[in-house]
Amino acid sequence: MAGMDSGYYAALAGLVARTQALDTAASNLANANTSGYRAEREYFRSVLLDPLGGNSQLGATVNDFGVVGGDRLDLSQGVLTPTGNALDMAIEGQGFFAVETAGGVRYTRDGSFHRGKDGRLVTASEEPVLSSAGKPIAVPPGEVSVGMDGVISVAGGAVGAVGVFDFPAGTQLRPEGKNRYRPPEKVAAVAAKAASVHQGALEGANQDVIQGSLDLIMMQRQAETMQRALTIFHTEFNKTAAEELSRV
Amino acid sequence: MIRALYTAASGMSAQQLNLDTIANNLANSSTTGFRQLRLQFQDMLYQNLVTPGAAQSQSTVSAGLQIGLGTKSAATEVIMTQGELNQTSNPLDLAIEGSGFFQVQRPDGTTAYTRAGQFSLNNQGTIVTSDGDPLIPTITIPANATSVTITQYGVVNATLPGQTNPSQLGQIQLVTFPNPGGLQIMGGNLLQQTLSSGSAVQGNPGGTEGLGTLQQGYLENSNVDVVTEFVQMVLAQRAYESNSKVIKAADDMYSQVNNMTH
Repeated sequence: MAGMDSGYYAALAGLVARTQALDTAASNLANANTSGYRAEREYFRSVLLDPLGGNSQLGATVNDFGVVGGDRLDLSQGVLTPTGNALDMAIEGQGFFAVETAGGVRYTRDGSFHRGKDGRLVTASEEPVLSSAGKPIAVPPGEVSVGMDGVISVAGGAVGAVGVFDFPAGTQLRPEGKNRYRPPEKVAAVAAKAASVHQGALEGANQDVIQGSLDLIMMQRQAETMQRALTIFHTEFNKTAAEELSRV
Repeated sequence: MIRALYTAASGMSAQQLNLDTIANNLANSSTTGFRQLRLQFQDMLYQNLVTPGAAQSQSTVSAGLQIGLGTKSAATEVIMTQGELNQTSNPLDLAIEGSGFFQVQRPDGTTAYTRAGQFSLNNQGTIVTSDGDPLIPTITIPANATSVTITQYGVVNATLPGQTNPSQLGQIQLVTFPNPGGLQIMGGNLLQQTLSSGSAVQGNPGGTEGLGTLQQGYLENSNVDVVTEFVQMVLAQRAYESNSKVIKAADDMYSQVNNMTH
């Protein structure tokens, strides 16, 4: 009896997990046109510490689809689209721009920058973009060129370098909205080693619409499986048990 | 699941706005001096179901469970690239090669800025835009003047009757802004200064402010690239479609749960 009930709850947890996964898939697709958006990928972990796999295939299948264990940012590269605006920047490779916000330094891949009213380089939310030394960058008026190393020159003279930062492997960044990410406390950003800056371009989201739609279909089918399993656990097994037990 | 419905709806309305912007760009693809607009999106707040690093009964979770709540349009970016120059041979048509703007006086006395250099004379001989707003600084060309020339540095010359050498009638000045993308669009090819654009910096064409030079007898075309806009339109359409699929999927899942049999 215990086995049957735990299978039932595993299937129920699996169904709940699918609905959470659907929410994330929806968010990824809604942001398919957001500059520098990093898609979230769920991973599932088994629901029971001692899976029933040993004696029941149905139990094992359901258990493998357990609960959502968490989600990780997909840090793969998005497509670079030229915009022609001299202060738009895109990162190719691993790294983030640093932005000074009211809540502290945050990181972003959205390089739609412009010159703020005080002459500093700012994001679309008017927050200063930080240099490799962690200071705001003043960009005087004039013809701007940005090198692959992030060095900004105005009329031929270097005025500063936009910082590109990376984090130790395995660091889990937390999305905050507004295209910003926040590293865990006590994790320090380091200068990115494998990143180059492209002037006059923006990086698109790394969620493509086709993959998103496929994920969606898979999620739907898995949810159907969970519902079927729920019915089997509840109706068929209990019925069989009731019938068999009465004969004993 | 209800989250998914609202999230997808935010995606659909963002794409609708995107399509509106693209339609406006295409409609203005041959408007003199028009600047292409592009909508920028941001992701919305995240709901934390499990906070990363939170201690659980058995272990510390390395990654959290955060569910994004969709997208929103953040800003309209004005793309300030140079448009192509078209020859018109009209002596009062001016194109700016560079990043400057003409200044014009609106009927209410305020100053507006434009890249559209389709100028003509009003009944007093003053240089005005096609809407009749005078150019700043005001330059008047006498009715009997002939062969008006405007140099690339903005000096307006004309030959007056009885004179062999042309006389200087005025100097056209241009302005630029710390953040030209922050100018407010007013329609009629006019832009207005805002807090975000910063104050206008005035100077003569060809100076060190990077204002650019003037080309007499040319007009600057819109900088909208029709092919790019079409590609953007297809992308917006597909993104709209996939968001509507999410709504359908969420609805299907919900109805299946409602109809589960025991």
